[in-house]
Amino acid sequence: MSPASGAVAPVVTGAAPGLGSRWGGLARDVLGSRLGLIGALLVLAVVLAALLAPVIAPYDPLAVDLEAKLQPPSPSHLMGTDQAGRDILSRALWGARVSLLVGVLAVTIGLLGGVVLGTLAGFYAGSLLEQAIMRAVDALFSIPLLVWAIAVVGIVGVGPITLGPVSIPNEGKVILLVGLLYVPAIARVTYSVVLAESRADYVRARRVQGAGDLELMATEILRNCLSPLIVQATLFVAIGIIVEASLSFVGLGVQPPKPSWGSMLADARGYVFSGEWWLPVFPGLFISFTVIGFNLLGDALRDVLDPRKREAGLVV
Amino acid sequence: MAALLEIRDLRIAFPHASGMAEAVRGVTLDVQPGEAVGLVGESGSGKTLTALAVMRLIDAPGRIVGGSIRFRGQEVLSLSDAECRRLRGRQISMIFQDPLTSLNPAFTVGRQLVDVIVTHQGISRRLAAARAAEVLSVVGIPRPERRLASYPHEFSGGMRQRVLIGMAVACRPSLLIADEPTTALDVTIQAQVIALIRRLRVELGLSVLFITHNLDLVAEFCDRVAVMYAGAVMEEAPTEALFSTPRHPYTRALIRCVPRLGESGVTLDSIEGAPPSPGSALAGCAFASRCPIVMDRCWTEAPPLRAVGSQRVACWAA
Repeated sequence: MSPASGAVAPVVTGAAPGLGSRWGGLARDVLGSRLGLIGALLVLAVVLAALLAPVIAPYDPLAVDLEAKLQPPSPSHLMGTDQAGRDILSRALWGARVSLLVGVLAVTIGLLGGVVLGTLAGFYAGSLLEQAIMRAVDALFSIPLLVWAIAVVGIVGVGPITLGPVSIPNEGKVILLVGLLYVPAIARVTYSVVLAESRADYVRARRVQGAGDLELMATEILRNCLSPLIVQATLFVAIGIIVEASLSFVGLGVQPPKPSWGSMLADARGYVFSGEWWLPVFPGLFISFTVIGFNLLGDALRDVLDPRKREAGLVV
Repeated sequence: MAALLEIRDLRIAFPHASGMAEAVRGVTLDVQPGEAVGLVGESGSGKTLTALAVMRLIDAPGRIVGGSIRFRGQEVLSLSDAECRRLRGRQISMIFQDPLTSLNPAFTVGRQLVDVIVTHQGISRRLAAARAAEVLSVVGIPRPERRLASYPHEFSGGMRQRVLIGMAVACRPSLLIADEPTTALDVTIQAQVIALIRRLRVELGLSVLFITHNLDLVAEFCDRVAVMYAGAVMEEAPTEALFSTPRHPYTRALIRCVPRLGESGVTLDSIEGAPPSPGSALAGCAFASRCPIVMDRCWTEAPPLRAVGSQRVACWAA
């Protein structure tokens, strides 16, 4: 009965691409794939556009110049001008700010709520808490995000909310709303990975060593759930940008005259078939490339962080 | 001398189609200070459940439904959760079968060792790091200071089990529960790990509850052995007595199932039949259906564990 299981001692060959140990390696792997590189470059370009808009935008995005309205792209207006003579390139660069702000902040809010709820539900699987959280998530999930957003903004209204000296523009409401609407989606993703990780041997081992639930959740387990969350967060930024553009398009997002890609598209509606193609095309390209960029980056991250590939380094 | 660990009539049950099914059906077992006790039995006999119950770590929906577990005279089953956490790792430690998955892949070995030490000793992480290096050198890991910065995947299976043993003994517990600690390792590494546990036993005055299905390891390592079958202890005896005069028919059958070197051309024994499924009602002895010397009485009355010489046997025929 000696080596009863007949198990062969596993041998580690080479360096396993251990999650987390090296962020540098992660970046290298993502940029090493062609699509990942394209995604990263697109995202980088949008981020730079948003950060540097005041510096690189050739014109004031709000400056009306009726003499120069509806000009086609030219050396002085690289993307032409709109019906009020505003420079489309400048407006698009400033528009990147709102888009990214909504995308990133909404995901941050969604992560804060979703990770906490999802972790609790996954860790205490089988409890009443799990049922309460996950059924509420299911209920919220049954209505599409954009429908929720339009309904809520439609009811609350698009005016700024004034809290003492601070006036929160409609974007703030959109951010909060989209963020809250992300909570169920992120809670689900977190739940599924935490559910699996909570049963891992190392969790049992840590418990045996006297670790409490909070310690297990906050450090041990979450650390191993990071990769799917990173992937999802990246993809959700893209969705947030689309939601913001959609809301602005129907007039429920960024309010004029502030530039935003969605409202620029809405303004361009009347010119699609009358020859002024640059009005809809350039804001549309900004939206497309940004969303494609985040999606490619997210896909590349998923490929690199895929648990099956992570394990591939271990020959067991 | 008072026993370090006293388990009395421990019962653990799981919900089952028809009410609760008992997976552990009245285990009674003592571990004396400094003693190594083997707990043997086939898969599903309740060895690991018994051990987890000592740590109060039976996962829901399983539940301890009866009996008592005393550690240093203190009833474990009535401790609060916080008291349980102080017990785990500091007083009683446990190591598991699979060293590959028992370490968190995302953290360095040093960080995981430091976490354990800080949890129980409340010292600064800097001091704990020094202590962690010490622990690694005690369990025989070369260049411990450098290895602290390594991730689990950079260690071999045997090395990882050493690390886990180090974590288990880092806070000087008095009882180490080793649940099949060498099953996932190859034979030479197995011997090294056993030698390590034996050395730590002497150096730290550890008591060991050694769970295994490998009788050779028991013979080599343990002072006393309890043989479990279908959730109950069938026989408990000093190791030597168990192997020289096994009194329970199940023990005898188990010993016959171990292949011996030099016995060529002999068919290896196996025990006919299968253990009763958990949840099936057992009026008599759990082993009755497979027992070669079964009597009428065995089907209706469960034999209690009673003393026969230095041994204790649950068999009407003993």
